[in-house]
Amino acid sequence: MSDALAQREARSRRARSLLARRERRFAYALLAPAVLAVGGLIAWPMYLIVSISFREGRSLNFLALDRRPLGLGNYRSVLGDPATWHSVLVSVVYTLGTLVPALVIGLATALLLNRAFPLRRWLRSLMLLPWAVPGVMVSIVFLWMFDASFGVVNHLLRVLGLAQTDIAWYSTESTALFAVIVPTIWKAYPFFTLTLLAAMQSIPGHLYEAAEVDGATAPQRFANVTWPGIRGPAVLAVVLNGLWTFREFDIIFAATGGGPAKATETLGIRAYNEAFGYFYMGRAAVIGVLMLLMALLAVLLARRALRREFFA
Amino acid sequence: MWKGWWAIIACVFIAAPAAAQRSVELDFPSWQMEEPGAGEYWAEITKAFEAKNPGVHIKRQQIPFREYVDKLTVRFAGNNPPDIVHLPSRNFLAFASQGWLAPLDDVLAQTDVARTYTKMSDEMRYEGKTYGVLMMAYGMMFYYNEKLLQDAKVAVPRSSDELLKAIAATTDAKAGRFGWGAPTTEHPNLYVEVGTWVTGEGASFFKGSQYNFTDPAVVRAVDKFRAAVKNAPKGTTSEQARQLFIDGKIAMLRDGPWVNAQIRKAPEATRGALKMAMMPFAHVPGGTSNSLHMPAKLDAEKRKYVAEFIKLTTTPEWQAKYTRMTATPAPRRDVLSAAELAASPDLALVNKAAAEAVNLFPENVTLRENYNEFAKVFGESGMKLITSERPTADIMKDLQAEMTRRVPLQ
Amino acid sequence: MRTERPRLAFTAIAAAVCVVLLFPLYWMVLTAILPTSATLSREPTLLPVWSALDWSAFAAVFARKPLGTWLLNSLLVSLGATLISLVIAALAGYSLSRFRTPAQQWTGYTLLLTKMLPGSLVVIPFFIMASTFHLIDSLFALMVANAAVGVPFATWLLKGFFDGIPRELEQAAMLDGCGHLGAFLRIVVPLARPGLAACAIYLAILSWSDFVFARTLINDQSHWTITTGLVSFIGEHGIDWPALMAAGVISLAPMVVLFVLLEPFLVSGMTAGAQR
Repeated sequence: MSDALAQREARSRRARSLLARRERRFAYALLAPAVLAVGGLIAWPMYLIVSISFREGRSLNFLALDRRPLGLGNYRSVLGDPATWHSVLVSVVYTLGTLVPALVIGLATALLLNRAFPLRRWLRSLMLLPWAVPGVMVSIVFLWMFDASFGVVNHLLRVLGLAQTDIAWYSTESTALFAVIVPTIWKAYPFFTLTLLAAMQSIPGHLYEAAEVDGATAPQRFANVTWPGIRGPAVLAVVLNGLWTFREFDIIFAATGGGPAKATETLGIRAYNEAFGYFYMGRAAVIGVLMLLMALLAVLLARRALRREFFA
Repeated sequence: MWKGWWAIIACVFIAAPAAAQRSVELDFPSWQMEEPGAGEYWAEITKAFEAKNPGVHIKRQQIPFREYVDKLTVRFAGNNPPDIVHLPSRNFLAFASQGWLAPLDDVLAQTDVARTYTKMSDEMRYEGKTYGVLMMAYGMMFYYNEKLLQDAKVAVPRSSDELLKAIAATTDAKAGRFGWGAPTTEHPNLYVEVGTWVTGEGASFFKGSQYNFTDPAVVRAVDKFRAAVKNAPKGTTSEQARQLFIDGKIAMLRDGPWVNAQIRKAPEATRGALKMAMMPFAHVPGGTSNSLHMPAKLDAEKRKYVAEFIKLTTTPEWQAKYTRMTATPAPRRDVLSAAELAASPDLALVNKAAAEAVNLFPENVTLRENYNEFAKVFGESGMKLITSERPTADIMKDLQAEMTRRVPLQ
Repeated sequence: MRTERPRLAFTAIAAAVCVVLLFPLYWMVLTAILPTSATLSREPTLLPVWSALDWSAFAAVFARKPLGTWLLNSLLVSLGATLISLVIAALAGYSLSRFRTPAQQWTGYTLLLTKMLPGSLVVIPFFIMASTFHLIDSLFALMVANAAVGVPFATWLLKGFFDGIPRELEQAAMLDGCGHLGAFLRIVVPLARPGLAACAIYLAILSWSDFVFARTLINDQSHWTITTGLVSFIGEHGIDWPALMAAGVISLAPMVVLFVLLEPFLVSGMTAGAQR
């Protein structure tokens, strides 16, 4: 009797594991195109950049790397250069200086758009519009607006009595970084608006009603009902937007090219200058590796919050 | 009957590839393909070349200037260079030092370039061989808005001091009118601007194989630059300064001869007042602008045709056409007749300036190989000259130290 | 009615916020339609002077450059990239949603890895890869490149969306004899339309704005996209602001239309995705 039972159990276990294996294969098969597409796109470039960073010499011949001697010369040169650490600082300031205001604007607009009012649909579309503007165009428009002699920003400052002389936004050391952060915030905030609004709209209404019944004030409602509901997507949005801002190149390049006096020289701009300006590809690759490590560090720090969003 | 058809089809299949092989396509990108003057020149000369060489087609491609050198760098680094290489002279040595260009000594031996071209052609030499053919070398020109000068009751300046006075007289910042146009943002062209003043006054940034930034003559010339630039719109690139001049917002400008072609396209309202003259300096600063090259990676058949094309550009006929169509000087000396020069005062002026020009760009090979870095370091100090109140001598002393450290001369 | 007045107050606030946030776009349009004398001055006119409108910049832009071709190329690339990316991301998102495999975490990190390489350095390897497969000057290469860039976020978005669709529905279909894939295609995908629409808009905007790939992989002018075309207005010797702004307005128009028409899907699609 127990023999037949055991046999039946064994058979069903085998059947289940077969099913599980087939399911797993199916799962991997579904994932394969994505991993291939994305991996294929970044695997070889990443390998090239890392290996160039360890090669001596100034040759830009990417296809003959093994002809060059291995060495740490590029690392010594780049990591020992104070300009590198200055660029790290500029990158960090630029990224945080963009993320924080963009997050605040995104949160404020999302809170506003979370309420029902007439014309909301159109105003929502309008508020998200900067997201659809190509980065190249953003830099051009702001370059025009911040023009020292004929730009509308200086004109408005003059009209409001806040400035007497022309401010050369992009060629003065003290204002250049601010003047490139503003267009970046402009392009970045809609992403926050969108993700936070979507998250807010999925918070069940009865939680708010319950809070009101309990006598909670608006800030308390935000802290206890809204924030827990949007915290996860907010972290993911900060990470994604942060990675984008950290690598952002077109806006700064078109406006200042990294100047004046390296005031806006982020790591991305520095890497470009070393590679295409001075033909020091090895040094550029080291900066690329540095950027990669910094980004990886940031993602690892946010790992726990990300796990719930991305992998749960 | 079918056998006949098969024979015909077979013939077509055999003949077609053979015919296709006889047709050669040469890839020729440039930033000038849509430029007024230069664009027409390239169109005409490629058509003439194709007429002389049936079966060869030159595919011209326009690439915006701002992208141009980067795109070419990517192509060369990716081992996919164009067949005809057109380069701004500033970048020539960096490309040559990568081994990307082919030596042209054998090709040029079949021409008279060595005898008839301007001395600035020597810049095309690298490590004992010639790697390119100069397309244009120039002297700086002085552009002014006649009406604005007349309104300020100022005569066309003939010396640097008169120039400074004229600039101050024609500036009315509140009305949006500036006496002088210059790059006032951190940009490699800052070296060109400051270098113009220094070379124009007879001084030089280089003494033998040393930097000469702290020389009193240099400092004096730089002071004049600072005085001029105080009356220029802030935060402008060279392109913006040129555009403002064309739009009548800037009274005077120094730039290469290419602005003349832009003036021809200026709006009716301002065009009549825009004029060109010789630089009001003791010497005419100048330099090389762009050049033609052959890539090192080129198959034998294409090499033959590219060599022929390069030789075609050096002939007196096409050199004359070049200067006529682009209104910029041709590198070949005395390519226009005296009668023609008399008939076109503009052409006479630009060719005169080119003939008298003193090269304001460094001759040192190490420096030219690293020109971009040199210009960048210079640009940083240039910005300090424009925006800070520190004495010139101090800034130049810092520059001397910084440049010696970053781009040491060997 | 007491409830209407506070609601209209929100409309007013939102409108004011819009005016401030959209000022750069307004200024772009204004520079394109007013004569240079009005905008290139120390006192630029802030409001359109209806009698002095000058539309010549738009006409000039179309006459001087093949803007139509560029718009068409951008459209093709966006369409192609969106379709390719949607397919890949939908499959991957479904996998991440339904199957708990050990690969999951690593997939997530891999997908994020694309966002960590600086664009300026990656151009040369991209170029070499495209050149090896003879894909230089090919719009298809742009489609693939843009599709790959969009996959990570699209996957996350769709995964969230699929999470909101109960598994019972597919399981019922599978009991009826459907395979895994069949159940996915016939049951889940139709239900996921809002999420797919949200993804499509995101991907379309991403590929429309692309500049790095377009400038690196395309040489032939007839294959330029609108972004590379825009930059060509900044010549070696001058910047024509009205023409540039006109071109910018034209380049933005298709995106604005798409956005305004489909934006409700974007929000609802992401909302449903955020509901767990």
